[in-house]
Amino acid sequence: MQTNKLYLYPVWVRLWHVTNALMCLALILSGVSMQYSNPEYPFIRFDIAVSMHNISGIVLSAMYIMFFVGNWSTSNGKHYKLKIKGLFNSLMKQAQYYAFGIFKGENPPYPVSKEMKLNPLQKFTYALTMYIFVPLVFMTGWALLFPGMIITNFLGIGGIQLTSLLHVTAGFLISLFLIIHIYFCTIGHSPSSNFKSMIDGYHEPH
Amino acid sequence: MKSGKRNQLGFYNGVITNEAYIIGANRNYYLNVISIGMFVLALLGIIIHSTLRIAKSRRNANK
Repeated sequence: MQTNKLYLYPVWVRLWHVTNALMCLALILSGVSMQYSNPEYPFIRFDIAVSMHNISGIVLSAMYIMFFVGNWSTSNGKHYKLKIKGLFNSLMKQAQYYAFGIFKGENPPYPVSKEMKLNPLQKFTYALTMYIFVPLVFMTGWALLFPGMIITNFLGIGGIQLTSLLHVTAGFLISLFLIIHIYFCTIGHSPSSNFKSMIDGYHEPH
Repeated sequence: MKSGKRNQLGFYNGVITNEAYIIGANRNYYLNVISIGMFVLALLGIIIHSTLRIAKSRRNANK
């Protein structure tokens, strides 16, 4: 019912989210192609994959600035603030719900509200991804775009090599987050309701 | 040679990348194994969880 719906995702969040999602997909596809495919039969032609990766990376960096400024200047930032006290217990409570409670028909321990649109597990993984892995991936990405900036040697390991390994590792963890994130989006009022929220901004209670 | 030992383990072209950047040359055997393991575990988790959810919703629909 329309009246039960909560308006949780303002236009800037939706625009940021959809652009971020498209850029992440382009980065994953081009990144996997450059890193793993056979050079003779590439998944995406090498020069195209490089341009695709560079352009998407630049757009994603701009999107990150939008996210950071948006979260700093609006109330959206409060949803990403972690409270250390009681964090472990709240994470366990939510994980137990996903692992067992959901199959027993229990109610979610942290229902979505205007004050708390992310449950503790979402808040923790989103904050980890957005404040640690994404900055790491775009900082190492920019460094690889301008390799002259990178120190040549760090504790006996080539600076470029270390930067590249950090970039690939952070990129992989973000890809893993994306897969799990998309799956968890199917847990809602109906499997498609959270995807509809991405378009109209309204959350349908579970 | 140090780089020879590394190459036996995978794709670690340390000597080359100290001087130049070759995309795709920075693969690492252990990172590859760990990442494939994590990816498979995540997929298995999703398959098991979604199967149980579908089974539960069908059971509820039949009630």
